[in-house]
Amino acid sequence: MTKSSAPLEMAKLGFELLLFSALLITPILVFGDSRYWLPIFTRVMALAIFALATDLVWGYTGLLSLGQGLYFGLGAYAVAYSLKMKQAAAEADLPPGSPAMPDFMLWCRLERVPDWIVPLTNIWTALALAILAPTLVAMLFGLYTFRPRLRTKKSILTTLAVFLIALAPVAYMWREPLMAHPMAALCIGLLLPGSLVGGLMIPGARIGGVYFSLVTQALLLAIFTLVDNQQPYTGGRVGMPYLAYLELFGHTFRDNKQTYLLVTSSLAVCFLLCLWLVHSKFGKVLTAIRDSESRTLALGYNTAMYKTFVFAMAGAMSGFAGALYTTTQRTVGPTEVLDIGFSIEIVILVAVGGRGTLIGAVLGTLLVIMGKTYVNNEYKQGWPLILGGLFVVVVLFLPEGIVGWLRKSPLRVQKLLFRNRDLAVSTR
Amino acid sequence: MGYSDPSIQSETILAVEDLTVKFSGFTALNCLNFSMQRGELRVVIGPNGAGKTTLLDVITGKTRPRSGRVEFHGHDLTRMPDHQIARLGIGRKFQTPNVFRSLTVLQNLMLAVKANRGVMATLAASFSRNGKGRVYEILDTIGLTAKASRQAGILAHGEKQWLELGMLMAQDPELLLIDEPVAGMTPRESERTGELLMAMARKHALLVIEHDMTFVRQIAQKITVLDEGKTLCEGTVEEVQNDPRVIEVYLGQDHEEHAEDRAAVGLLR
Repeated sequence: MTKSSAPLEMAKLGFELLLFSALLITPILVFGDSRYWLPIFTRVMALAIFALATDLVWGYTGLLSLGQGLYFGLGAYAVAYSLKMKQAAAEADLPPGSPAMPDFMLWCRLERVPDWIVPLTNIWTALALAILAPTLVAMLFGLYTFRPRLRTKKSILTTLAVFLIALAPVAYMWREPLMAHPMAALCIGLLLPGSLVGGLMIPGARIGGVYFSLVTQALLLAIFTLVDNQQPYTGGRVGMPYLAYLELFGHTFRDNKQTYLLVTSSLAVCFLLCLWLVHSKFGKVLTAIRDSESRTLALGYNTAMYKTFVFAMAGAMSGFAGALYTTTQRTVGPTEVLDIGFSIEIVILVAVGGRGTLIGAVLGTLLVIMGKTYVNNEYKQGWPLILGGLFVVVVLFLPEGIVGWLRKSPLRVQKLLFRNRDLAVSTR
Repeated sequence: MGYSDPSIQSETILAVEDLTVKFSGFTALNCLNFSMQRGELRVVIGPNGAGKTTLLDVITGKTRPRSGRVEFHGHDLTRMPDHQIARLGIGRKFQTPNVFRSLTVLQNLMLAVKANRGVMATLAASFSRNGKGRVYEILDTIGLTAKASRQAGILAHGEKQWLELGMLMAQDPELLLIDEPVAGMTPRESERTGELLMAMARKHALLVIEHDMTFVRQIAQKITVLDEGKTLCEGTVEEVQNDPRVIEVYLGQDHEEHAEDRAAVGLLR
């Protein structure tokens, strides 16, 4: 920042932080005792973390991912397994921490909890996985979609390595009927063809633009179908309802206010992290990629690695948001978190608030989700219509969203004043 | 010319051998041979479709050739990812202004300043302090000091071109590829651009593609004429303008679409 613009920038930043704090504190002050509204606000705050992640990827880097729900869903399911088993243990009077069979597994006549679900009994393992698994999936996905497909020695070796890593869990799962296993099916279904196609489709270009959006959406659809069809392992279409309360350090988050504070403080941490990131040199490189990838490449930045990094980071944040969301909702199901409509809705939230402005993502989530709650209470089927209309209005009249429009308003006032002065001069 | 020391000119930094590029049947470059010495300023001219921009695309890794080699200091560029080519020391000015429009002029330059381009190094770098002195020097050279905190997207066309040249100065590559730097500029702007390029030629090897012959005469020492993907001839401005083959390719074409080229030769003569 130069000297002339620094105070203005600082004032803007200060105003944003103030607005952000107000958005977080007001609900608990006003609705702190409401057993209806406070949980809804808690849910909104968890979704705001998800919106922040989407804003990093779309708003700042220009990658329109329509399948961010995949990473959200991975986080949500990881925690859901843990809470479901805890609930099952409590119902079966087993000591907490033992891998009790959840009801949907009993109904499907599984003999025991599958090996790959057992470690999730520990909530910390589940939380770690809720962040690490989406990060890893996003990273692999990013590497394949963003890298230029050049037949160099290094790219062939990388492909081979990923291929072998993908084989390892498949070999491990070989003991059981192969496709009956979701993990094995996942490996076979995604990683094997992915690594083969990714490595061997040599002269192709980087996947960008609308193709990227389509690929992300297709991946989400594939995972939705997988989860939907593997009822013994995932609960199928119903998912996992009636989850236990989250328990950390021996403290159970049963109180609405405490849950709200947990989610809100997580949101604050994520917000500050994103704020630091977008104001750092790294953040400027992201914006540079959005503005002109060819120029960024010509300056020597390996844009594929930057995009992969931000995509993996957004994956981690989405997974974290999903984990929090599940603990507040105490239910998870594919039609909710893995639905394509849900992922698109998040993009619309960011667009309404203002893409490329972190505060816009939070504000947009708050306004639209509260609007959705209201509309759903009053007119049951009206929401999709209103959401679509909202999107059209934003695209046509507010391309930079609410925050973008507000930011320009000082300039607009200035213009108005100058125009009047010009008018005064010309009439004189 | 500022690069008068003959001893450093003898080293070949860029060698293009038998380069062929085809786009679904159309031969853009046809067994092209071309080379550049350290510190050289070379202008490439040629009629539309002669393969000038394709040549730059191949050097920077944007287009991959059907056959042939492109070597820069002994590195084969045809098998190298484009960001690595840039890191070897090859900078490029695109034909249309290509700057980061939502960043400020200052931020544009600061992203270009020579530094470790790795993801982790960038995460750890302090943006506000990174090479500031050099950036202000460049701002002064390109005449945009007063607009340092403006968004690059709202600059005028000529100013964007200068900003992009400034970014190249900050990047400080050994070889600069410059595609039609004065297209769409007023005569005064293009003269100023010529001065900027001459200043850059003191420190870097420059490969300039240009149509505007007034401008070519302002800066050129050695000219290469491309036609139909091949080198037609090479030489000084005088040699090239007296070469009958050059007059043939420029004047032998028909109709208004080449009026620009004919006007160019008119200026040339």
